[in-house]
Amino acid sequence: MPNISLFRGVDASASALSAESLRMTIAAENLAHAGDTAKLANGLPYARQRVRFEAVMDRQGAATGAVASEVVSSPRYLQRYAPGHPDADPATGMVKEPDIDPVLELTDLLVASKAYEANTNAARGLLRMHESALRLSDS
Amino acid sequence: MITDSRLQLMARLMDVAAFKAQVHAGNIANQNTPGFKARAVRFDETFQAALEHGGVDAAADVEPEVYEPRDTMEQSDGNDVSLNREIMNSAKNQTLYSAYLAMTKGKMRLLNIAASNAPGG
Repeated sequence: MPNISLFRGVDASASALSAESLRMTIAAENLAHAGDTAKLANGLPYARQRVRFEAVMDRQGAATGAVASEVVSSPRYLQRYAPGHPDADPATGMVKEPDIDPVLELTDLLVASKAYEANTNAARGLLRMHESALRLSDS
Repeated sequence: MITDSRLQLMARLMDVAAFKAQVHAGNIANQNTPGFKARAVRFDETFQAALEHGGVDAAADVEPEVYEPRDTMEQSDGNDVSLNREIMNSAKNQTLYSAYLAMTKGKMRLLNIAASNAPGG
């Protein structure tokens, strides 16, 4: 019998919940920084962030059901000519802003929130199953 | 010692249902993971066949097997989890689990009655 541990399924749902909520946070952050030309310490404006999802494998290389998430930045910028702008490059008159598409971010937000919901339901179902088994001794 | 084979069979079926629920939860958790392939558990058919040919003892030895069905449409990122299918299957599985539990309860109630009505009990 492959290992059934009581909370492995719930752990999988929990990992997905944190992954999807991280994705929502990052999408909101990107949206907030759309058109933000202010330069940071590295001399460049805010870089668009993405969340990368990866399936967690066990030692035998089989999927455990859990998902790992990490934030990666994709520093791509749009440039436009605006010589009077306070953030413009004095030599060229070009202003850099992060390449953020609000529609893309909103779609991401929506997909992540739906997935979050599906995972809370999955976890609830699992816990209900275990609870009902625990009540077996009541009868 | 109570060694009721049907009670043991129920315990086995509940174990497998709990395992299936784990796999469904894993698929739902990975619905947005690029390249992830949905997994399923092969058990019902093999269990049924063993029960018909070898009886309860043979059926109790049947192991659930995880496989990738790969019969749903793959998204552009290589993920082929169908959320609708997972939700329907896990709902079905939960209902079955409740049924097994109800049968176990019924069986245990009978055993309780028998035990409490035994002479000297």
